Amino acid sequence: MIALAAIGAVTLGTLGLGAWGVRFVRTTSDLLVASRAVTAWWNAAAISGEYLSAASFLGIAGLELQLGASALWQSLGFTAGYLALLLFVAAPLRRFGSYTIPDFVEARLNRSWIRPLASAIVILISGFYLVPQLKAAGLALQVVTAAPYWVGVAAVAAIVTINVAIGGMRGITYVQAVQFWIKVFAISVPACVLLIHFGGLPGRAALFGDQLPRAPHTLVVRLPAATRAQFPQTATIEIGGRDLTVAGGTVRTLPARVPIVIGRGTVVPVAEGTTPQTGATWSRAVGGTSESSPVLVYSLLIATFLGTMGLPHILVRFYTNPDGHAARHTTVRVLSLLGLFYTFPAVYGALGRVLTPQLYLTGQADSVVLELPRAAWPGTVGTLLGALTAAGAFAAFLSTSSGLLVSLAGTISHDVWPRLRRERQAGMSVRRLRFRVAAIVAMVAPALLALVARSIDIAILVGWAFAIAASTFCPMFLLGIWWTGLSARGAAAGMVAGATIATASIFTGLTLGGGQATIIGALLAQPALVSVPIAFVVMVGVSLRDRESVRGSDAMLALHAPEGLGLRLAEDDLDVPAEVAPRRM
Amino acid sequence: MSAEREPPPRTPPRRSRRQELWPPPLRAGRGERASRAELRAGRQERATRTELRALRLRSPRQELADSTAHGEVYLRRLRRAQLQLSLLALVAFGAVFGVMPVALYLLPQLHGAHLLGVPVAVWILIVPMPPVFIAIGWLYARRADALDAAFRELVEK
Amino acid sequence: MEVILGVLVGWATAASAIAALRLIRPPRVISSEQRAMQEALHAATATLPHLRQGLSAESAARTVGHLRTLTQALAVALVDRERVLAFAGDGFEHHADAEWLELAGRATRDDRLQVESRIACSHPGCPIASAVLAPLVVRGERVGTLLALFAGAWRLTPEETRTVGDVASLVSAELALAELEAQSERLARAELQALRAQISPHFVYNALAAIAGYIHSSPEEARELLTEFAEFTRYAFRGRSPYVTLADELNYVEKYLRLERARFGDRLEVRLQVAPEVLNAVLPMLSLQPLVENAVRHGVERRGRGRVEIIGRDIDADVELQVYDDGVGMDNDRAAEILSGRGSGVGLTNVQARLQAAFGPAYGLEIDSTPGRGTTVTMTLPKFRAGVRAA
Repeated sequence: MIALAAIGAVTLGTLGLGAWGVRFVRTTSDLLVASRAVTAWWNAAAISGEYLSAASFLGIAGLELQLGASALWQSLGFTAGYLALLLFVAAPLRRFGSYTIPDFVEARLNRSWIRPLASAIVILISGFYLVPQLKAAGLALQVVTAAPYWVGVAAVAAIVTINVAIGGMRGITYVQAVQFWIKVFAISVPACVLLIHFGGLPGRAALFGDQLPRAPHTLVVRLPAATRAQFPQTATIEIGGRDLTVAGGTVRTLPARVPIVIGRGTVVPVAEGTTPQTGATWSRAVGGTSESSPVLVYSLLIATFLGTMGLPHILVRFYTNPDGHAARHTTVRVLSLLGLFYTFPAVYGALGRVLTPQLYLTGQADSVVLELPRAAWPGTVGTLLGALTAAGAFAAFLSTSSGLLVSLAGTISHDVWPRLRRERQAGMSVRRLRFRVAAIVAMVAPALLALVARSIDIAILVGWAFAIAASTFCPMFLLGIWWTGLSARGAAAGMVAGATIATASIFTGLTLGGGQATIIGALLAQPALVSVPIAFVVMVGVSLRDRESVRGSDAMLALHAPEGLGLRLAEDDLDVPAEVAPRRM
Repeated sequence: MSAEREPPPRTPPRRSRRQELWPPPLRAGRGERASRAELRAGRQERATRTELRALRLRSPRQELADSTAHGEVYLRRLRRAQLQLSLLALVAFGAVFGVMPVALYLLPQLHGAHLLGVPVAVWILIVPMPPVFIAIGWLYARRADALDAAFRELVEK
Repeated sequence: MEVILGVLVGWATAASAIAALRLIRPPRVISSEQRAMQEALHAATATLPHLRQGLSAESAARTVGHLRTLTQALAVALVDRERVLAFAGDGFEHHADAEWLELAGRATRDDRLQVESRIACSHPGCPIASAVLAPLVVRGERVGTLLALFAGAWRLTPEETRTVGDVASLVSAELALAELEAQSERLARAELQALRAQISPHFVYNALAAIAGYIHSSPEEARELLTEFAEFTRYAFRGRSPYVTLADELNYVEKYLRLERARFGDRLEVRLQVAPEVLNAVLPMLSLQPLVENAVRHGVERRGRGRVEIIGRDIDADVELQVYDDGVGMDNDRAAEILSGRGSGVGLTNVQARLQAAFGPAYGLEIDSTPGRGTTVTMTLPKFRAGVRAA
């Protein structure tokens, strides 16, 4: 109940703040336009706020619980992505002034036919990214209120859609910045309180030693659906009042909705598909299991490192920086803010392994951040802390999915719709109406997919969005910004190749089922290691062979020339007025 | 450029406004006939001006603004310098970050050694990289701004 | 295996360390020779803009320092036919200007460089021993002398004299150019007239009248307002790019409003409410100000008091700017007339035309007005349009 109230407060708070945030009313006497510009810290917090999604708030801890310490590569990759953005993209992109990725593609490559392609990829990435946000929402509401999964998905989809369609909090820098601090607060306070409460990490044998996770006290579990479970060691559990002893290494189907009692100290059975691990393998950063093979780790790092710059809702925020210099310094601040945030999810994964091992059985590892506080400290404190993490999680998917839906609806209403209607221009009111309709339409498909994708980990879903971004927009940005020779056809070919390979291998991997043991299996699960180089090679190759004369020098000027060069307002351009002293002829 | 030639009739399209303003030769405006001496002076003046206009240097800034080949030379230098800097920063963190997974994979000893009850490998995974990112990012931003400033100075001198 | 790994890790660490070091300490790229040449060249070009003003005490004072760097002389003076215009060099206070003038007077011919060695100075420690006098000639007529002073008569090298000569020709050429430029002044004035048309004469008259009203009561205020007015006109007259950022345009509007408040005082109430996200949007220069001026003129001027609101909203990829006044308003026919360009309101018609020329027919102005109830003019712009740049 408290948790629900906290979620409600966060939701209403952000909506309210959005409405209030616009009203910065002043009279001319104390008004200075310069002072209204968003400062680097505010903007950095806003960028981080929009970036920290359900994958960061819930997904990393869940993946850590399930796979082990190797999941932490993901948080490193999420942070490093901003370093790549800083080094290669931030300042030039800001100087260029483009507001969306299709804008950039069209203006840089100087061809209008490439715009629909870029729009299509934007839709693909946003869609992929939106699904895990909604999945997280369904899960969160399920944990907090015991409502069915679909209720949460539908509720958040509706809230976000209405919010975006009405034009509430979207786009407002200060709201997103506040959201960021809510998230930091919500993830750091419970983590610190729990660590202090336990005086460090409890149960180290299961974390780093040779132990399997055991029930910390008598656990009563009700499975949402019949589950095939693997028993890593011989164990006795009570199902519906009858004792059942299962030999180690066997697989049994456990019934749904029947109380399953796991006695204190019993090794917890694990849902099929998850590998039972001792503490020593669990804490291996690389190579503990097949899910953390070096190939997979590298592929994931490439995807996150290079994918960040291609996320459609990130570029929009950089528009708020006044110039390239500010864009750089904002990004450095983003790095430190993200570094701060990503310190904490690891704590939940580790504590969850010791204190909520039943999640291995229910298969809902993603809810560890939500369930841990109550399980770790039964009573009021745990409930309060649980309410805090639930509120933070809601802040996470509200802000990210709003940002994504805005990009999605913007692309559909601005690029796709006019093309379908074959018309050139539409007035402001028509455009606004279209945007609303597009927002509603755009939410339908991800919401349906979220219902289907229930069993896939949030962090893995997000990893795919990053993989597609890294194999399409990343090469396009890097080459487009730093190489004059990139041709429109080359860029198009590379993006198509990257998107096709990435998407095809993800779906092949899905249909074949989770065989990540081989290198091929790993690359099907996370294709960036292959698809990114291919996209680069195709882009360069086609551009080199291209007959169309490519001279991007105009674009290069806009991308790289520093501001304040007098290409903008310089004093000596004012050579018309009075300094020309009257002189005799 | 020959001294006798008339000033070109049309200025190239993307010249600055100031240059389009270069006047056609002015005549004495006192409402009288121009004397022969004045005419001669005018002609001489025109010749000198043509000569001088050839002398008159266009600043790199103008070259940049008009995206001429000359401006491109400056810009390419800046672009290269910025790219080199970016790659330098990439190496500075990427080399260590890049071998980290392999090293952790091939050195199981790191898992055996414990610090405060947590394996060293886990510490390596969590602690050092984010500060490194921030430090490299900060250094990079500082140097990149310096490059921009140097370019600005070069162009405006 | 371990060896390979060790090499790999060691190599990577070394690469990182070297790269990090280079990031911290930038390498010197320019050799001292290059730098000296650059400095010389810079000193030479730095004189250009000042000499372009003609030979005066002021321009001379600004250039002599650079000329001294160029000639590497102990001291350098610029002298015209009557007086020493400027002098650069320290520790020669014991020489009076007259001495330099006398020295310059020794030059006999217009077209020759002259060297005066064996200058005997009785002052102890004065190093000056020789002087090089180079004529400054404009169109065959001598207008002055470049005077360069050196130590030791025997140490004067041909390179030094030649440099002085070259520097003098540089100065001469610039002075010739200055003369020509003076003649283009009248044309520039004509352009000023043309540009002035961009600012409403109505406003200029009123603003100046208001400032005049302050001159007696509070001169300080009047001075500040005049500065504002100067900056205001400077913005309007600045050439080059027809596009500016919204932040710049708003700054300008602010100056404008300050001037209007000088007239109306508290009877003009202004509210500004702009989302910071849209400050970087680019729009044609002077496209918001006419809207505000219109609001002041129709909303406030006739009744003597009133309210003007400027609202900027961030709407996805578009920016919406609204200027509202609670004044007399107008009927729909008149609004349609203005937007279609048939009306008499030149300002708005012009803004509409420029907006649509830049951003296409989907963007531009909308007027929403009820007679007696006030007027809202809404301007919509895209946040990005290729080629439209505040440069």
